[in-house]
Amino acid sequence: MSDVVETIGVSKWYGEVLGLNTFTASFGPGITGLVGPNGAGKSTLFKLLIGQLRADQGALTMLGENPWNNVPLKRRLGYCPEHNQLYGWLTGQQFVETLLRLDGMPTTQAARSAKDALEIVGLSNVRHRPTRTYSRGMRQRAKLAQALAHDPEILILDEPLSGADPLARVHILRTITEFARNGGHVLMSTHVLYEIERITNNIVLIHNGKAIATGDIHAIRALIDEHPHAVRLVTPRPRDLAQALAGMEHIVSFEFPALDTLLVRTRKPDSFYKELPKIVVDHGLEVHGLESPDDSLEAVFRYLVG
Amino acid sequence: MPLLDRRQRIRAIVTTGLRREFKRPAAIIAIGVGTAVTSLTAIVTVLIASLAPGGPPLGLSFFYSAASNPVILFFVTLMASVVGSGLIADDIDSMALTLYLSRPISQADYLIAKAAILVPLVSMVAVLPLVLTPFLAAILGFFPWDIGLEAMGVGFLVGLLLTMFYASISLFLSSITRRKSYAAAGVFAVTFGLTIPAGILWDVTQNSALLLLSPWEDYQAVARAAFGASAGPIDWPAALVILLGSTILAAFITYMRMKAIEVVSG
Amino acid sequence: MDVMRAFRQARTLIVVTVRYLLGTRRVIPTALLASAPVVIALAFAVARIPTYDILVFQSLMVPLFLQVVLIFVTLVNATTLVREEIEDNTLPYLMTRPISKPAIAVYKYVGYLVAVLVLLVPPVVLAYAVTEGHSGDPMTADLDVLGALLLTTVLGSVAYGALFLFLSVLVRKPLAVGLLIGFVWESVVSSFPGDVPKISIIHYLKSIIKDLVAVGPLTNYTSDISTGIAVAVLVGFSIAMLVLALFQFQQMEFRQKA
Repeated sequence: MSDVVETIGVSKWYGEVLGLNTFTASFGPGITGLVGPNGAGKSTLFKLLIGQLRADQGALTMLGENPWNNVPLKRRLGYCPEHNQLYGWLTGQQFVETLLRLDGMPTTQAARSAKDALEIVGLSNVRHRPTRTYSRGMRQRAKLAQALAHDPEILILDEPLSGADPLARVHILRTITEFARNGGHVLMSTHVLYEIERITNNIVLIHNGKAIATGDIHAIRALIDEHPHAVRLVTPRPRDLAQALAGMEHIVSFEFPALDTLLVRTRKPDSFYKELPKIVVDHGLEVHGLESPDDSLEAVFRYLVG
Repeated sequence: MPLLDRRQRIRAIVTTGLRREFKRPAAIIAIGVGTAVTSLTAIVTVLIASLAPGGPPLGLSFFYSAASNPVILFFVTLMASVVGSGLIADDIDSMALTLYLSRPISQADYLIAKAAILVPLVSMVAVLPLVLTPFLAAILGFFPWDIGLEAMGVGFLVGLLLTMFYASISLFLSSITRRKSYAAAGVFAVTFGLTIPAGILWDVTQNSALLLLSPWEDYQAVARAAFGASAGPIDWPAALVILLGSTILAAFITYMRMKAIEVVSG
Repeated sequence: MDVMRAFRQARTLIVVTVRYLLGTRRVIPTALLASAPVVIALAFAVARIPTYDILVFQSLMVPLFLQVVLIFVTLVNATTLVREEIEDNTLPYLMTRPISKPAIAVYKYVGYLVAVLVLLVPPVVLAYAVTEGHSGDPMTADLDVLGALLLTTVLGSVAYGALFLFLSVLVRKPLAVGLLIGFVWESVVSSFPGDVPKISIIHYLKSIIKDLVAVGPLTNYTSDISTGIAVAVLVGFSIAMLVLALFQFQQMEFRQKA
């Protein structure tokens, strides 16, 4: 096992409910997104990784070690939980500082690191307010600050964007990207699909406790060849363009959803993109817009889970 | 679609609450065991007393022994803490209160509904034994029916007084915290924290007015007077005023708190 | 093991626990209840009750302070140490620190002890001082009574705290179970014959008072247990409860509240 996180056949039961079902996946370095609907098992996996739960079956390691009751491993880990609860009676500064002191940091250093971490997440001006007065976005950022403050090797972020306002989202994504750029590993679960796509191509799709796909989002999409790739072209002469493209053997179908739109379904999107410009020029046609509604995480997920 | 009227809305809250309580094992056990134990001990106590040779003539005062059963105090406290402590606290904790208050439901209706959940359940240990005992005594021929019926009526009123006091107190405590365990502890503290010191202080000073601090002593004073039993250390009018006054005051404060409540989310 | 790091962690968690138990609004009801003996003693003094003396003080303190105040204050505070963190979903913050679960529980327990003794000891001392002052006796006149009460307060806090901490990691509703044990079992157990009373903490606390105090309401209490044995039993019981609590906590999994 040499990846940042490795899971082999991990299952976890909550009574009769299966939280994870022989989950097998590896999470490499950098940022990896864990994507799945509610109840898919994302939080269960994270709780197993931080040692809050113990796997009923299978094996999992993080940074090469079993996380259950593993105290030294906690030094290398930063965790941002899904829930918004903080110690409401502590100020933001006290909250992060206290947790740093529980990491064993001396008081002065903990105070300084807490201040720096809160500055990174954009909470400097409210760090002396009790956290119970924080908005949801501020709480998200405070949670991220405590996860980052002790300079961990890996960040595990459970829905860090949930409930965050746009400004908070920008801050959080920027912080995560910076952390990864400096050599840290990030495991992040989210429903906000377009935002995970903005910061990483590495994803693990989870559904009903199982890993249904892992790797580069584009590679995953390309593998789904029983679902032809859709490309939407905006052109004043859609039928003429369709006639010109009909010669491509990998084209599956044409649709005309609007007077100026042609929807092409192709099994080989790379070949299509390569051949399209020459065909358009040779036939004297115009293409004013081109997009692929399928080249998104949402589409991939929809195809995979049916 | 026309809105359901006020009664229907209150009934909806009551139905939801009762349904929830009867799914909780702790509530079921407390209700079941409490009802059985209080009723059985009351019945046995009265019937044995009535059968004892050479005792006083059978009359209304015999049924005071059912009302003064200390098991009632324990189970009423238990019921109020198990059921009553979470009625409002859980709604505050789960933010369900925002859902209720965003409906066309007034705070008064909300409290009436909560009381309508709690009062029947507490009365199963505070009222039912006092009504069932004379009924059984009469139907079994131990007591004439006129005494039995009178005892049932008095028992109902006296039991209701204790029920309303504990319902009011537990709803007040439930409204001031989002953790129902604290409210439950508060109910126990009211019972034991007032009753025990009152007894001790009376022992020490022989000043019977100190017994008025204890809700149980107040209730017993009223019950003694109602059942025509021999007078106790404290006067029943003062005891009645204290019980009723505390009940009304707690209900009023709870209502005022609900009016002022701002449910902060986030 | 890095001793300095462990010391810093211990100090941090103890201080945070004490601050939470004493520095937030939740302290108000427990502090009010803990001050009951002082309030009553002052009331007697102000009302110039001539019969109020050290004997009456003891009659008050045993049923009220030991059997109501001590149990209530220790129950409410000990059960929050772990259970409230679980219910509030704040336990992950502690569990993702490089500190073992048993250490978390132990440090929180020490914090609880500090907080509870701050709440309970001053009222005992003050109530004693008011009593002696009112009856015109010097403060040193009945040090056996004060000593016995302080010793039972400390040992009661230790023993009840350990018991309620164990309950809080064992059951989901520790306060309910604790109320039944503290206010029902501990109250009625002395009525049972034979050795049944020995299956309670209050029996040993009362035995200490009986043994240490020359003249008091417990002089005729049915117990042949000396102070030394009572202390040893209570300390041993507390250690056993703590060990069980730590073991249980170590094995626990935490499914967060939705």
